[in-house]
Amino acid sequence: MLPPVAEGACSLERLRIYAFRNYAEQSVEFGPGINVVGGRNAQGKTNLLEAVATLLLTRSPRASTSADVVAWGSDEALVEARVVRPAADRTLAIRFRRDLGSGRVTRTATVDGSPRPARDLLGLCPVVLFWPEDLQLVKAGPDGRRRLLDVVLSQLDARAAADLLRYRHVLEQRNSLLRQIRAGSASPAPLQGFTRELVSSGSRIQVARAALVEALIPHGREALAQIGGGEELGLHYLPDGGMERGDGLEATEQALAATLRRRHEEEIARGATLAGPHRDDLELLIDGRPARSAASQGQQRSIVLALKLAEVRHIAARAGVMPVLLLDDVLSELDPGRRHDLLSGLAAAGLQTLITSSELLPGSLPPGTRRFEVAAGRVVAEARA
Amino acid sequence: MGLIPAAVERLAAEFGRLPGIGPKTAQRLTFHCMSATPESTQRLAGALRDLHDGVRACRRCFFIADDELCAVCSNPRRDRTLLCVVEEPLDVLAVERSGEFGGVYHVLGGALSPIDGVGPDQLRIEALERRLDDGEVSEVVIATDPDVEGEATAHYLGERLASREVVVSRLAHGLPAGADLQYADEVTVARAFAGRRLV
Ligand SMILES: Nc1ncnc2c1ncn2[C@@H]1O[C@H](COP(=O)(O)OP(=O)(O)OP(=O)(O)O)[C@@H](O)[C@H]1O
Ligand SMILES: [Mg+2]
Ligand SMILES: [Zn+2]
Repeated sequence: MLPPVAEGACSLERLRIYAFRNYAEQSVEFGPGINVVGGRNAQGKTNLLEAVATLLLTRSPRASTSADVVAWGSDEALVEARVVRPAADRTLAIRFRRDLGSGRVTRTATVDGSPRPARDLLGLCPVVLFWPEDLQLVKAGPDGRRRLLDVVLSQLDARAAADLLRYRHVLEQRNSLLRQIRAGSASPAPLQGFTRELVSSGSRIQVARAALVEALIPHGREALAQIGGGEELGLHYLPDGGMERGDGLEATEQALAATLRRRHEEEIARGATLAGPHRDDLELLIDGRPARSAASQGQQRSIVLALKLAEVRHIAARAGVMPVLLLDDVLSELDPGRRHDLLSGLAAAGLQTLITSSELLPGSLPPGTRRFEVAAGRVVAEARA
Repeated sequence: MGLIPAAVERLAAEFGRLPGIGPKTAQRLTFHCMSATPESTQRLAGALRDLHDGVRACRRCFFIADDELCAVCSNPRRDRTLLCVVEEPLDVLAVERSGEFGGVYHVLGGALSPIDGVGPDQLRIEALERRLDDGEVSEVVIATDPDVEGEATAHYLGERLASREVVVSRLAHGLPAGADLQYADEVTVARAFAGRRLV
């Protein structure tokens, strides 16, 4: 299911968390292969995976602010892990602190104990997330599809990671200025400077997303062929702002700048930025038809799984190492046959996989699988399956 | 009642409010002060108390000064035809450390930031224009940070000064994107000055 990678896989060996969500203090030794985290509802299964994702992506993929992940009543939280990597093993840590003055929570990162900008952690141990919300990826709005692209980009390309942050920031500034201009409380003179910044980071993002989608197409097609029936998966990047297929950076910049100029009056009337990568979409096609309207429930699930496997394949090809895979509560959505195929495929490819499930996952688990049991914010049991 | 006396808690909380200081460092500083002699803690308290009375903004450039004019503005050997625009007083120190600049400064007091309600009127741009009116300055180097706000401010200043008989240049991008001038090392700042470009 997944072609082997020459250099091997990244994996978490030991995870240590402190005051993160409902965990007070916990240390977990994961196995290099499949790890199943079981337990009843609301015990902390997802929180454990979230801790891993927060460390490897430097921010939680599901919390809106850093403050959400700090345990209630605590002013500090920590996630730390020993990461086994083909290049060199590393200890990564991310620490959250509530500033006593402002009440805001800030995060700091270290690699092997030395302070580093948080962005330096990105890509040290690449990760692919499969969250229950992803099952709606086909039918839901474009945010989830953009996020899928951006999570991959920011781990493989430091420049793209910086551009994504810069774009989010300039968009916020520019929208705020547009609202003030609409309200008559600010002069439009400073707008152009923010527009230039928006166009330069925005078009770099669009060029990077376009290249990523091109690279994902064959991976997605092969993955769907292996897990599904005979349908063909198509991916079609829909950049907003005028970029045409095959456009380079300069053409993309010009197109976006021209669109913004054309919509200037409307932007002021609406008090919002009306063109740019924050409005991009990724169209999913099944046998050439839009999956949004054409795919059945089962096909949608297969498409999402194929996309996730395409992420794994692309990261493996680009970074030369297998990423860690986090599956939160999604296995129960697959029928037993497919689940078995998936798990044995993952085990054979040597991916470290952390899986949560509130059900017992009947059926045989691949040899070497480790099982954990979570109750009330503690990992209480640990046994080989 | 806590484990730690209130006076100790209070000082640790104050240290903890300072930038770059976490709870552990705040505690260490507090315990250090406790073991120091009363004279040395008095000295520290005195320095803190006199800070605001002893310092003011330079009347001309808004850098920190003992007197009406700062050390740069009152130095007759500085080149008054060359003016460097920065966001904060600390940026002046960064540029001075590079040893690359012999002109004078103008401290804007920040950068354009609509989210924080900072527009052109909240920055010392009119004061800058008044300084340029007498025609002594022939080149303005804009050395705002290379982050979103600094770049937008540089662009805005470039436009606003465009009709004047003055060369406007922008610090070159040796500085990492999103970086802060204050934290750049000397060599980087020097290189950025050498490679400044016209706007
Ligand atoms: N910041 C926080 N501090 C303390 N507890 C928290 C915090 N945030 C969430 N929780 C608690 O964590 C619990 C949820 O944990 P989690 O989402 O990991 O459950 P789960 O085991 O995945 O359950 P399910 O099977 O329903 O998905 C909730 O009961 C919630 O009260
Ligand atoms: Mg859950
Ligand atoms: Zn001065």
